[in-house]
Amino acid sequence: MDNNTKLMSIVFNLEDPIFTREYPSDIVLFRTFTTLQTNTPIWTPSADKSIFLTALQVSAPAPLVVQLNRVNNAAFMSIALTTTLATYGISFPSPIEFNLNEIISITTSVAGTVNITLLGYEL
Amino acid sequence: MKHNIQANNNVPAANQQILLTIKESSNIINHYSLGIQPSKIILWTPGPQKSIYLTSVQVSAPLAASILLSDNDINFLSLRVTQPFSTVSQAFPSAFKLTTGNSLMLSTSDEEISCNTSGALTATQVDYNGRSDFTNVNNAIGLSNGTLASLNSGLLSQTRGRIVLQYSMLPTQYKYLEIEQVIIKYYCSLNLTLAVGVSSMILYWRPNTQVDWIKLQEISLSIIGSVNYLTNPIEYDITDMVLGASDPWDVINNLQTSFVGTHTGLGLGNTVQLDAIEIKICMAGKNQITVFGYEI
Repeated sequence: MDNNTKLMSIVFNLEDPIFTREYPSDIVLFRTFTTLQTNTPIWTPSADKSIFLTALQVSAPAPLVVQLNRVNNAAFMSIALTTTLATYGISFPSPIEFNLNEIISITTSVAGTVNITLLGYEL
Repeated sequence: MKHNIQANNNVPAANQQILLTIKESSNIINHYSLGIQPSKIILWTPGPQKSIYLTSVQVSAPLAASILLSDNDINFLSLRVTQPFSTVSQAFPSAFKLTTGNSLMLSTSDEEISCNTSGALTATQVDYNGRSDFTNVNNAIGLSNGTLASLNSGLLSQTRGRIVLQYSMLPTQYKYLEIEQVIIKYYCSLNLTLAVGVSSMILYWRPNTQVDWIKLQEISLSIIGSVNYLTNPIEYDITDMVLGASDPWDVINNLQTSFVGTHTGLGLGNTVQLDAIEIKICMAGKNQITVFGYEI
């Protein structure tokens, strides 16, 4: 820790400090569904790029289960919304990296309104 | 802090390029659908000489359960899912590093078991050896309530019949539920006031309409007296047969029960009665678990 502290003070005493900023999430996808969804693609990356998911949020006025799928419609996340927990969000401090050209699709358990927001970037 | 401000002020003045940094991404996404796990099971084993860096975990479940995560044998995180709050997650801004070579393991505890008891939706009578003599057949639908379908002995001819009951009991979230127990309850009685011939009731079920009836029990009387299961039903546990099917929920969706009554003796005064055939299904949640991270 001592070494680290010294290093930091050297950095800040330099004439030209290194300034870094975290890579921004420049893609925000918002979709609303009202009918039953089965493996509906919601995010298709540009050719030969990967999705990096940094946050997602779902909300619904009536209880339902939202399932997010990756390649071959394999579920990777299941979110159960209830009347008490009608909005659910999670942010990923470490971006979730999908494979090249892998799309994210959605499946819902019943027909009903559901809003979904995905944040991230493609590289 | 003073130095820091000064240094930052220099950045725009120096017209410096700001460097973009990208955090170590989580390229491993593991999803599991698991029921009750009383002992630790391995979720994720890292490559040789590598460590798991866990960045996020998420659980959703239809019923309450506690999910315990451990670094090999050492527990480090418990996520409690309850019915109104059925999705929980935890993200680690600083990745949680498991011991090198150790696996991420999981066990569950305090699982909620939910039981539903269903009566039949429809009751129909079909011929049993050419006759269908039950009366008030519709009284056999629904839960046991004291209204009875009856088969009375006849003065001139032997009487018999078969009541077939059909159900609608697939839970809407069945994909996320695991069957723990299935019990059939027959609320029925046999009463003889006349000792002529043999009077019987035979209990059946089948997983779908394409297969033969499976006989569970036959109860017969030939002397004056009665056997009464109208309050305390005859129960059969068919859990093993349901779970032995390739798709247990398909069995729950299509199963039928049937009840046969017969009087071989001629003369009035003997009856077979059926109040209801109930199906009790007990379920635990199938917990949906996702872990995100990487290996170094």
